[in-house]
Amino acid sequence: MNSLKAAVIVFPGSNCDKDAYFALKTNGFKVQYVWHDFSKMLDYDLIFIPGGFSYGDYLRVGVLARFSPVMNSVEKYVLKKRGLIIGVCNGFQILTEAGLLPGALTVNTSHRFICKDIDLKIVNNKTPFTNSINKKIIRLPIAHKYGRFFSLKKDIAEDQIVLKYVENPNGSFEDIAGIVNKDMNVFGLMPHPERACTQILKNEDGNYIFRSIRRYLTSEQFVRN
Amino acid sequence: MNKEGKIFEFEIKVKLREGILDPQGTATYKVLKRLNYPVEDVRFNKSIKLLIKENNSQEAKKVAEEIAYKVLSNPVLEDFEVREITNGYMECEIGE
Repeated sequence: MNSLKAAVIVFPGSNCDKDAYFALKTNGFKVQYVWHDFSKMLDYDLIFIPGGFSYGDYLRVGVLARFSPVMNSVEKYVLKKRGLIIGVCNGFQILTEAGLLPGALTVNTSHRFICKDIDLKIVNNKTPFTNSINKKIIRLPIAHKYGRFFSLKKDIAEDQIVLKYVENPNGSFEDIAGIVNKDMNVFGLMPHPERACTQILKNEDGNYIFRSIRRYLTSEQFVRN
Repeated sequence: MNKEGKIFEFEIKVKLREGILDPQGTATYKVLKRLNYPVEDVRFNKSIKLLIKENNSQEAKKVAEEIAYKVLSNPVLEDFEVREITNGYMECEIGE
């Protein structure tokens, strides 16, 4: 079996790109960085949009990155269902700004930057990103000031909600921490699975997500377009 | 080739929609209340100034509205208002 190919998109200001690279490598992916001005077809099984402060988070979090050339390629990749997309933290914000996921992310109700490990309920384990999670609760780190998810109820279906906070840290709508799009090929979440995938960090729960992605991509269910 | 053109000035106000919590406003409101000001509510808006080079005011306004809609505001959270600053334009030449 050929090894799965993953791309980590790097924007000016991304700072979790190396963690993403490390986490994917640890989980057996062949990983490449892709710079934000790349405008050709993305030929990968998985696209990882990492956290950070793309374009300094000026104007609004994630919005300036959404207009960079690589995002046109990402949109085509999603529409043609070429593989899976995961956006973490700032990556999640970029995906909502691009309209690839519903809702928006805004400032925490506490108006503070929150950095800690939190418990997350797995509310849908039937997605390509969660199929190998056999636990009800996993623990992942969060680190954000603009993590309050907001959406109108009509814009998000029940099965699109994947992760919920056990104790809502930021005031997110319905305790939502992570969602997928209707086609279930795009996943956005505020917690950082890539920061929890080795024993040295005392937390390996992030691997459940990478393992799920691997399992889906190597299953017969996945047909590459 | 250069052609004659004008610069029009616009102010775009981006504000949080009704019902969306504004923690910055809430914190400021609490402080003002503590200082005994008769304040009923505080909301923070963004104000963005755009200078647009166009042939006439209507075309410039169309561009300003498009920018406000597509880039400056997020319709899930925010509304915007576009206002031309009258007599604010300057004669200039539009370059190549």
